[in-house]
Amino acid sequence: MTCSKCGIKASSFGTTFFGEKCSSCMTLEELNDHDIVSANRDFLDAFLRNAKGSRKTYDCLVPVRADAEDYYTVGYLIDRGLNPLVVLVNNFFLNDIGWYNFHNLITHYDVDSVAYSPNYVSYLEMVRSSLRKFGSIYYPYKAIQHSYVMRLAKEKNIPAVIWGQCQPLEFSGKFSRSERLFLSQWWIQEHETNGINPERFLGTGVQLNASDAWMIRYPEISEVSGVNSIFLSNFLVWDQFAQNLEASDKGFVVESCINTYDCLENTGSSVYYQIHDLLRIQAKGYPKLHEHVARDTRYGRWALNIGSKILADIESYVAYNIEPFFKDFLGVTSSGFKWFLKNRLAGVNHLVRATPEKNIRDKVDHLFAGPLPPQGIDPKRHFVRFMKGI
Amino acid sequence: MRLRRGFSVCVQGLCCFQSYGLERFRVLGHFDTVLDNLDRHSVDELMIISPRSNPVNGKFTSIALEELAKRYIPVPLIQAGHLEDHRTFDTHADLGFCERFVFTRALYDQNTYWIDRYAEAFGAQAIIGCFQVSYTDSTGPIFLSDGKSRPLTAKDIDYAFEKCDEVIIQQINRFGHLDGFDLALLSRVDLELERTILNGGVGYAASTFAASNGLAAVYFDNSTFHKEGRA
Repeated sequence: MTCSKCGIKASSFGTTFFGEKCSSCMTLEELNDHDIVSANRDFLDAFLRNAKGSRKTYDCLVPVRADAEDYYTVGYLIDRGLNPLVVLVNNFFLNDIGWYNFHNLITHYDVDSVAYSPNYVSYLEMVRSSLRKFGSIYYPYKAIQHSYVMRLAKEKNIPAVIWGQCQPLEFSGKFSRSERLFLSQWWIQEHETNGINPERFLGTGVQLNASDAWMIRYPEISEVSGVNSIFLSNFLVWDQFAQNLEASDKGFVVESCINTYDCLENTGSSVYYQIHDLLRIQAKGYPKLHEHVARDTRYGRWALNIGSKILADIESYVAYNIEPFFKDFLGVTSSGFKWFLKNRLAGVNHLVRATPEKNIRDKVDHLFAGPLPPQGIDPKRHFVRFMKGI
Repeated sequence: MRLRRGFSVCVQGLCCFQSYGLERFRVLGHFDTVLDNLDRHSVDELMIISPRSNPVNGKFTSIALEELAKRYIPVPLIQAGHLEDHRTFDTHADLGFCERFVFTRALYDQNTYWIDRYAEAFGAQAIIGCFQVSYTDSTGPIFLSDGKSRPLTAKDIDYAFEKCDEVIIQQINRFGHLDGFDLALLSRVDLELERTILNGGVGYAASTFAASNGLAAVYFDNSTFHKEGRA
């Protein structure tokens, strides 16, 4: 089945259909429901008032990844009079642009921040194991990030952890906007770690000691009691692309990218639109570009027939250079890289190439309605570790 | 007696779906992820519903009973829907992993052939009746089953409590609605409260009512997982 409004057949978190419309389009249409919008606004007002009234040093904790969405989220909360603590969990994948944007974020908004770097040796082993066992490099980062921010909020008596976009809501319409989505262990396992839990991850062949395993374990309920974690997009009228465009006015630097035209999302990562995106195709069947194209059809930034045509031919628009991840990050030899490419990426290795067959930017420049996404600049250094002390 | 707090979810293969009213579904996630987290949300029992229509492509395929049976399910398991065929009955009899069974059509048609068979095999305590009800103030409670409907009568209710160990009042049009179970419905029907289970948009108001009025159980839907701890 194909959605009559945005042209998708599937999405990352699962799509269902309401007649001819997909669940993502249904969820977008709920923004026109006055009762839902009004109830959400009231709920968010009360939630933020409660956080603000807690009389702690910080009213809320905001986990960031140094991309444009973080500028919107932090800016919104400051405009509402809250004092956020900004927290970056270092996944060691950021390039120099990512780090610049993080430092500019905390300087521009003059907020306190914490940058947490997991034990690098253990983290590297986790990434290697995650790739080997599950075909994903993000499990360790996601597990550590969610565990760390919830523990930190509890430790510092911060009553609220506030994220920006709820991806399953925006890209898949997995829930109704009338629901109140709080972060839970189930949420993280289902949406962030692809069903993997620490027991499955640590099961076989992962060489970690007990103290390292602690990093990926989500806290017990008693360890996070009193901390509520929400997504702003659950409660606000949310237009990711339009909001992210505004970040450039605040000194945000956009990275150039060939595998999407919306480099505002997840700019500054050495892997997101490279090996991570290729693994996404292997697992789900389509790249991140698929979600960007469908989103912008949904928001009327291009016509359904144009968006559908791109979706139908999506692999023509992507090309991946994944060697730096294997050589510079994992320290794999050339022969090891070639073996992995041949044996573990067999279904997608034709996409490891210098350039795509078609250039998505050309389509955008000629067919996009409204403000164009910025072109961006190339990073000077990839995998900038930026660890404690040095 | 303490109110039992269950979780109800539609299952197709090993994928869970959340109902948002009659034949309107959204993906909830993988069945294993749900199982992994039941303890954390203090779920006392799990009701898996095999919906009349397939949430994905409209073509019904039954719950993958053999697949489910391979899993450790830490709470009593209840199956609702599509029980009334020999293959499903035989599979349940062979596997023996499901504690209770929910019947709607048998009550609508007042035909207890399958209720009697399951009761004989699994015990009378295994039988739960279900009134799928659509309710508004103007229509009153309407009893739905397999595309058919009629007003819910006192005779239906008496029959259900006679044939079943417990009875679910399932507000089918309130599934997926936050705290959406309309308690006004309960003033329009005469129930044996201590043998009654509420389901369909159950939230704080309905569970508080149920706890203070001695109902047997409430079955939440996906809101169970949208907050840490007990629903």
